[in-house]
Amino acid sequence: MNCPTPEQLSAFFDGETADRASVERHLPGCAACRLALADLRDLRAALAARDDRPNGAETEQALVQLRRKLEPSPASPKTRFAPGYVGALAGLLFLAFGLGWFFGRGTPPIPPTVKNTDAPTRPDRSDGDFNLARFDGGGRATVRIVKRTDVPATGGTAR
Amino acid sequence: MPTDLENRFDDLFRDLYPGVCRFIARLTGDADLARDVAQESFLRLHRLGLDALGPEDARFWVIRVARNLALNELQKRRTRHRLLATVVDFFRRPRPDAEQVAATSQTHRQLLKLVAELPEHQRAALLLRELEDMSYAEIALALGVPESKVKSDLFRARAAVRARWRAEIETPPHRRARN
Repeated sequence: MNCPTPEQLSAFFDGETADRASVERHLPGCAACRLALADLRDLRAALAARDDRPNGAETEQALVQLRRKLEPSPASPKTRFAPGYVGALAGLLFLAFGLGWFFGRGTPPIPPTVKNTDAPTRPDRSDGDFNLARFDGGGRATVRIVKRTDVPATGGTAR
Repeated sequence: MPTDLENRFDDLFRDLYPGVCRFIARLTGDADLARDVAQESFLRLHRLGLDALGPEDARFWVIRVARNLALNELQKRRTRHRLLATVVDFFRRPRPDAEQVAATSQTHRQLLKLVAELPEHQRAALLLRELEDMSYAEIALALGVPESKVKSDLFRARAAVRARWRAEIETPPHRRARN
């Protein structure tokens, strides 16, 4: 038999190969495969050399801690909330926010108008029937509608 | 008064907790993390209910959950590089017990260092095989992978460790120092 592949030898070492007998027949005459198996044994010994598992006392202590975590926390009657109350409270809050949003959406807050006096302005033009828009440089236009024959009216703000 | 189910849970904890701690500690190089995630895994098992799983399935379930928790925690910390350093440090750390120091030879320490440098999935398979004495089918259940992958991971892990180990011991010390 040819040398088993490293994969076959690894499975043989673990007792997970179907063809165990042929590997066993091969080994006495093959120093390389025996060395490979010896290395696998060294590795196993190295991993098993140190038993760093928690001991019995540490395990019991961990179990006590776990049991404490599993106990329901004692809550005073004042602070204990049944799930139904919590759900109702959440529903009320949701309703309050919803109503607030619904009634508040029609009147969005008007940002304060700040006139930018430094911004360049377009000069007034009165060469028609109406005075044209006067731009204040802040994205807003002030329109004065003045008939030539009328007394100048108060200005309105268009957005 | 503890019920039969609670007693079974306690027995299972006593049976599995030490092994789960060791597996996670060797996997991550962090013994404290190992104890935390082992306990969290049993907490989740209790919430799930022992009846939901068979006794053997519970073992694989706990190992799988503990491993996932540990890896998630490590990912959160973004310590891939730190992990390696920690694992190496863990295995290099001198033991306080003189007897154990003697038992862990230089050869063993070097081999453990090489194991610590393996990819995580290979290391997990190797540790479950060598420390927990699990069969390939059991490792596959615990890690949630096909049995063929377990076989291949084990072979690759051993081949990698062996190749590096042979390279180290067959290289003369003066050349090793230069490398």
